Amino acid sequence: MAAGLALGLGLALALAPIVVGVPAASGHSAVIGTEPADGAVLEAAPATVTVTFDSGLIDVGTALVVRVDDSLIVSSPQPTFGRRSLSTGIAADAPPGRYTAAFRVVSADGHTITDSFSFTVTGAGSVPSTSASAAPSLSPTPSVAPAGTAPASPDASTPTTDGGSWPILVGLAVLVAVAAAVVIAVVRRPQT
Amino acid sequence: MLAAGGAAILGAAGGYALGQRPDGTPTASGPTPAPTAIPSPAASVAAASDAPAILPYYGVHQSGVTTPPALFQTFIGLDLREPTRDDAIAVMRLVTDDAARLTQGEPALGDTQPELAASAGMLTVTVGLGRSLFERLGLAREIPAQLPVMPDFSTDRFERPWSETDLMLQVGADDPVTLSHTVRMLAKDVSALTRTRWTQQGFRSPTPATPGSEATRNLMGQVDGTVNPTGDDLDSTVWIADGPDWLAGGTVLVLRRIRMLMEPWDLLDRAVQETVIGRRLDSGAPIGAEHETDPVPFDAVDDLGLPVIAADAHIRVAHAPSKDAMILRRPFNYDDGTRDGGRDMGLLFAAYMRDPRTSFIPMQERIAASDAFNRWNTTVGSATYLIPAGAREGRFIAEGLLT
Ligand code: HEM
Repeated sequence: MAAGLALGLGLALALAPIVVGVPAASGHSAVIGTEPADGAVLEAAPATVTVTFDSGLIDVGTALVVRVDDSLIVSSPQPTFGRRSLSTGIAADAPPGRYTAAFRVVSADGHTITDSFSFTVTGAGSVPSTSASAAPSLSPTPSVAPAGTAPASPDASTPTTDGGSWPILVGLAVLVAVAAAVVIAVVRRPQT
Repeated sequence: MLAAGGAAILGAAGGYALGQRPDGTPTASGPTPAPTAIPSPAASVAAASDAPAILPYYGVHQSGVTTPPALFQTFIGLDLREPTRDDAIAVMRLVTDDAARLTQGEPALGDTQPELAASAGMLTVTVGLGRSLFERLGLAREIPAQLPVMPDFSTDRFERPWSETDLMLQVGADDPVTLSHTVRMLAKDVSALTRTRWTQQGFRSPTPATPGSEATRNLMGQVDGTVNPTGDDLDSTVWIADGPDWLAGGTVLVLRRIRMLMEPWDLLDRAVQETVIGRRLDSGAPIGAEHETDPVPFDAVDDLGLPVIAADAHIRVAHAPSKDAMILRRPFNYDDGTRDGGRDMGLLFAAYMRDPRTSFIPMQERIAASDAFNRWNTTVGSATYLIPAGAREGRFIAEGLLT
């Protein structure tokens, strides 16, 4: 949840839990960004969904599942694990609806981070009109993820939607990451 | 081989039997007890802590495999000094004779501390043959298909000296002094003909993991031993059904020395430790279930749609896809103090199966490929042995192979 806020509301809110020393809901490592952002409204389904963290992760028990309207799984079975990010490809024929991305990962210092965020796909954009029932490669919860969905590749993080604001948001995410690292370093030094 | 005595052998063949005095207490010495009703391993684990039983030595199977595990167990790896069949026969004769006496609470011939032989509760002596024994004796053609060269696994990090030897002696006992004495008597009697390459000492908790559990806790505090074959599945998992008399009724032991990386493991919070295995630390129950022996909800997802048992959880990756692919796990803990600045402790992972090619090897391949647990374990030794059929009175282990 912190992620969407970070992108939507800016640095102050995103860093608040760290600065004031309140443990984030999910432990010692915090989410600093998601793509798409929490609460975003998109015309078409994204090609990938990515969650970025402020510190290292351990690839143990890793899961990232994206569901539409809490039932249809549209993510690939195996999320792509980066040292500080998790991502998954989204089925090409994923329908419009309310998307919820849930993830579980372990921070480098040994704590589980479990959280979720949501965004909406209106279907008004580039994707040809789809209806929930006309998605043959998708399967309802809890069976396996869509067939024929390639796992997200590391360079597939560019959003498919057009929008001049994206580069700015991505830049902002990087800023947040750097700022968070600095703040953490400053906050932790006196304690150690 | 001779058919005589078949009935008596069959009587003891089902597994083990408690020797009992008329008043019901276990015999500590005296003649080989008559086979009596065979308790379940669970009953006997409990019995072991109250009044350790004398386990019969002669039988279709060697004891120390499906008999309930004793509290202490030592594995010794030996090589023949001279690879001659006469020496191998002499070693087998000596070991069989010593084992037949010592396991029944009687001193070995020429025993210098006969008093130490008396407390023989749960004492078993099990003999194994490595591939190199067959090869060095010119018997390579006799190597059973069930004793393949163990493939390399990507997670292996072997250290000297824990590799495969010509011969292996496994000695289990509830009394650690008796165990030490038994190991020493066996090693002494064969020392002119063999050289000991390694000794690995293991122990188990005498306390059930949770009240009524058949499993105990390992050094990571996990309830270990929950999923294992029982009843008919146990026999078909473990015992080789066909082959010459020295082979049929035998089994294969895979012994791996697995160091637990305790320092990094301790840094994980409990929830992560549980995710790695797929079970709760307190109850041993699968995550998403209530009791230790509940079925594992492999297909369940939580409210968020995340798998309850992680894709890389140890129990998901290790789980045998069919009964044919099961193994009998009978691990012992080891704790050898420190090494390279870290704790040197872990598991003497001992598993028994009728054919590792269809059970252990694919299982270990899956584990090496994707088990989350690998990060906190290192396999530093591995050795595989053919455990021949049990001895009949007046004969010795592997007699049909060597004569
Ligand atoms: C230090 C090393 C290891 C430790 C501490 C360990 C621990 C555990 C624990 C706590 C369980 C769950 C409880 C149970 O069913 O007993 C388990 C299950 C299991 N382990 Fe291991 N294990 C280790 C290595 C291995 C290895 C090397 C193998 C086989 C190649 C293996 C095979 C299995 C199997 C087959 C199960 C049961 C899975 C199921 O069907 O639920 N384990 N282990």
